[in-house]
Amino acid sequence: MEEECRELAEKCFAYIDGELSGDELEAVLARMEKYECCRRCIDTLRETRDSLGHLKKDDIPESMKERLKARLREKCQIRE
Amino acid sequence: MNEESDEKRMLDLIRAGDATGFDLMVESYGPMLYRYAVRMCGDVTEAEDTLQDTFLTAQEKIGQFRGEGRLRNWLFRIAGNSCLQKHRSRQGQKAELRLDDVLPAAEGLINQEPSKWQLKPDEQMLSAELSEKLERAIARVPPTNRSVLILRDVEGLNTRETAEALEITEETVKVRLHRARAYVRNLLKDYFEED
Repeated sequence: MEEECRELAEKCFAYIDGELSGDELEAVLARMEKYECCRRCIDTLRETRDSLGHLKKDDIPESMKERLKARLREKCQIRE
Repeated sequence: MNEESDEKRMLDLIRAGDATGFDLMVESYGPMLYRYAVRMCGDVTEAEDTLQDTFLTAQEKIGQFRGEGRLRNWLFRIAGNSCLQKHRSRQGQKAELRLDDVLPAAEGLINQEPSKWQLKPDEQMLSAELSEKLERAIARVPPTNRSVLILRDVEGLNTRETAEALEITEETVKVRLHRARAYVRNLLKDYFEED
């Protein structure tokens, strides 16, 4: 891969979270304008981030929750 | 009531020696800690051990919690240390991703049009197949990066909260997160380019 790509990689990563401004932002935007692969790279990173946020939010199993509460109550009583 | 006032109530009960405070702690933070521990440990039994260690440590050391940050973040810190300790005891695992681990190996790594990567983030549920691929990819991320990825992208903590939870700087959160994401993206590439 091109050295320029390598140098800008961390900036491209930061770009998708809106963490860039000024010259750094300009450099990434110029790079995206110029190279299709750079645009794809950033788009796919953004899609990856968004899909991670949509993973199912499993709840803790009820039986595990009850075991944990019982253990904590037990320890509370020992302290008393 | 918001989460912070719930935390205050919980802490008042715990400090007064009322066991219902711990019940509230398990109810409020058990689900997030459980998901975090399952993804960090890769195993439900180990995740339960981690949760038990976390809550018992919190019970024992609650006097050391000064309330400067969120109780939730403090619990994540205890859980994170417990998970990373378990990983350190295993041999042969990469500790942390380097930039070279996540860069495209050659030009044209991402060959498909972005439309083929569309994961439809507006949908509430991902397909079962994609969820499974994502979970597998997360499991392959080295633990220090994975911890940040789970808290930031899966659980939705912000950079400052994640830094507080893991006792690292915000800059470190960003570097670890970006590399973890790129690593997951590279693992998913095959999935999207199979079609």
